[in-house]
Amino acid sequence: KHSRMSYNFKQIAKIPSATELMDITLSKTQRKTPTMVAAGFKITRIRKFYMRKVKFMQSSINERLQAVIDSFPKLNDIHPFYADLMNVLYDRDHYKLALGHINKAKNINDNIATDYVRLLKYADSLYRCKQLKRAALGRMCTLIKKLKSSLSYLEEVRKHLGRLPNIDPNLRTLILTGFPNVGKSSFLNNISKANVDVQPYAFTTQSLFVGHTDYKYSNWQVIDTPGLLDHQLDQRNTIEMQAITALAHLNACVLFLLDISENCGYTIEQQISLFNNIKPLFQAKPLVIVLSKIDVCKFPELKEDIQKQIQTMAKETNAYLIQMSNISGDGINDVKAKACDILLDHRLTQKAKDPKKAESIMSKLHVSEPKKRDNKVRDIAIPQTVIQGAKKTGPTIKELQEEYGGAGKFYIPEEEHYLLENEDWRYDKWPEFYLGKNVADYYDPEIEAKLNALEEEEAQVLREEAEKEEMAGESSEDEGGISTADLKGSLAGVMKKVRRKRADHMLKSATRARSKIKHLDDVTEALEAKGIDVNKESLAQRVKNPRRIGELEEAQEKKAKRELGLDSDSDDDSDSVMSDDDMKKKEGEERGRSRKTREQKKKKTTLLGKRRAEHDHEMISDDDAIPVEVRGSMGKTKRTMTVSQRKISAKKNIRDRTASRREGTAPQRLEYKPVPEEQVRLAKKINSIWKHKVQRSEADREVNVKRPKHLYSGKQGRGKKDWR
Amino acid sequence: RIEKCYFCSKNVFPGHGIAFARNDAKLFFFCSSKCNKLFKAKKNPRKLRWTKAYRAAHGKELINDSSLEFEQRRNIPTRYNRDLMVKTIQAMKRVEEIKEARKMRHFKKRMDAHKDKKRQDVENELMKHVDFIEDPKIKEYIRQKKEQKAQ
Repeated sequence: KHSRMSYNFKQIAKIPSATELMDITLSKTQRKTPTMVAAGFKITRIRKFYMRKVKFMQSSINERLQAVIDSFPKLNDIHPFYADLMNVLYDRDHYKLALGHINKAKNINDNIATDYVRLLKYADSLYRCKQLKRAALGRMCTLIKKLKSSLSYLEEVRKHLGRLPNIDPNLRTLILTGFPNVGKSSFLNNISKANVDVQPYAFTTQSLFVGHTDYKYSNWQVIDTPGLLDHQLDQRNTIEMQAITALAHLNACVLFLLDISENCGYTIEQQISLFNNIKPLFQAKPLVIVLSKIDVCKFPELKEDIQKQIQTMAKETNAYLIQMSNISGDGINDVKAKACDILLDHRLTQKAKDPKKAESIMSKLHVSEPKKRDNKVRDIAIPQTVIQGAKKTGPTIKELQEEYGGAGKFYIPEEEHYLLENEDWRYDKWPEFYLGKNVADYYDPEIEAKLNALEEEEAQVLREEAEKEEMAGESSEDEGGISTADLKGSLAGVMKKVRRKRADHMLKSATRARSKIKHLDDVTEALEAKGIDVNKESLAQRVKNPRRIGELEEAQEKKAKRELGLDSDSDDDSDSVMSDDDMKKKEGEERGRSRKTREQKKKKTTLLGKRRAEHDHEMISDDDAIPVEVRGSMGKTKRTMTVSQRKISAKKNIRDRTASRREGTAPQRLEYKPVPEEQVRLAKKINSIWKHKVQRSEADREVNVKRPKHLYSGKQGRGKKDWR
Repeated sequence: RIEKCYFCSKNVFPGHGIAFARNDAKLFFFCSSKCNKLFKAKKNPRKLRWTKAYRAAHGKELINDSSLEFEQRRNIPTRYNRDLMVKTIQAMKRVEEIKEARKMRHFKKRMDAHKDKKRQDVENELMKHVDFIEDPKIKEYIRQKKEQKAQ
């Protein structure tokens, strides 16, 4: 609560002087309120205008004065140390009076404003209003002028307050006291980063100085005070009073510095008497009596009774006696440590005594002890080599390594450290893998026993199997005396044959197709055998001979010609209308080629054909049957001509054709009649049979082997068969 | 150390495959990128036919056998003893033999379960093409079977 106040002193705003304040408020009123007013305005408007001015002035003055009052700390609200210090420095009464004066001025200001506003209400002209306003503002200004001294005093206070050392009353503090020139400031300089003036004359330090140090990982304040002289409290001046204030109000460790060498200009007795004088100030505080300047004079060198006096002094107040020297540096740390320690203890005991605080701390603490998980005694285990203090002799492994070729080349012998039952085993090499397994996975002290058990199991199983074999006698596999393996074998043979047959069947389908062709005689016989009446004539009509498309078309042509009256049956030369092929035939005949009939040709080749030929002649009746033009196997007589002869005939053909056309003697082309679909299909089917007979080559885009062995058999390590 | 591929249970020899250390400090070894990628795709090896995990889960492999207990990862090392090492290596060989024999037995048992059906299938096939059978004894046998079936 109190600690926060110490930081606000520097934040107090500058306090304007009386004249400044006057100027500020007046100019503000001028700027911030409307400026234009004329006599011709309504009186209410004029009044309002001037009232506003008065009120504005009032409010701005009040604002300022209020700010001044607020910015200064209330002596009752701040830490008593600061309150006292301010009293010492600035006189409490004067301070309070100044602030009171300002407060009062505020009230008076308000009164002025209200009075003149009231008057302005009844002002009847611009002039009157203006005068009133002038009067009001004037009075306010004189009021401010009267504040001059207070304001200037407060400004001084503010300046000084800002420069006060930042002492935190609740922080761990050490206070240095003693006579002037005893070594307090130099001690502070030694301990902290402070750089306080150290001079041989008294009252070098005229105010409190703060230094900061660390001890046990926390911050400490060290306060250097002005030296105290040995006289009554009421006789003390402001400077000394500051020291007294600090001693009185701050809960800190007091370091009373005693100059043994008497270089400060005061005897030890005087110092002791001062000590006794201010003893009541540090009743409840931890105290350290520091014997300073021991570099000049050492404690044992003193007279005995003085020594005794000092010791009794310490004893009475339960203080610690420590010696130190600022110049040489002896004992400074001891002093600091001691002082800090006792202060910490003091603070702790204080905190412990406070029941609330103690409780709050205790409730946060918890001491946990690990639970024992078993009754095993876990003793301290110190290796023998450590107890014996054994030292290694010889080169270290590192040195050896460097000697023998460095890291990587040199094998660090780890086998030396193995703890083995038998020394012979030390440099054994044993395999890491065996039969695709890790040897370490099998390495087991009980492996022998386990293996024996396994062997027994296996033996047992084998025995059972043997018994089963005997009992079974004839194996159930052999039903009917034939084993499944035999059956499989025979099946393999069977399937081979079957496949062969199927393949042959496919290949022979052409011949079969033809062999399927039945002759009319056979058909009639078969039907009559079954007892069906046969109409031979109708059957004869339906007899179909395999023909070429070209043939069929020509047959149609011939028929058409006949109908037209052009007889193509006769072979005389006098025929004017002839088809091109007829022409060719004629040519061929003229050249002496014999026109073999189809039947004649067939007679040579197959017996079947022969039969057919004979039948053909018998079957066909002149009236109904379509005359089959007799020609070679492909309908052309190319086989009988040589290449050159063929060329000649072709050329001739063309010449004749065009000539005859030109002359108009060429036989007219007849209307094309499409071949019935059935016959076309049949012809195509017959043609397709030839495909199988044609030999294949690489250009024929077909896969010969549907199931290559290397893809359809064998195991595959990785990957599928379609791409491996 | 020869590790087992986590996915397909193949042997991962030193210098092969990939080891994956997960955040919970569990190690996964893979024999190939195939297994690694399948693992990353969160595939369950028990559902992929070609893995040992599938085979074990579907009773096609020998499991829970005493001969399999010899090989186990030992976390507590046993002190080296030459005699024990010799015995171990000898035992390894014997254990492998026994293991193979048991595996074969397991396989046979599995296959014999369908012995009858397989025989029947062969007979049916033969019945279709009785005439092609060369061996007279078998031919007669099949013929009889066919007659039986017709009845």
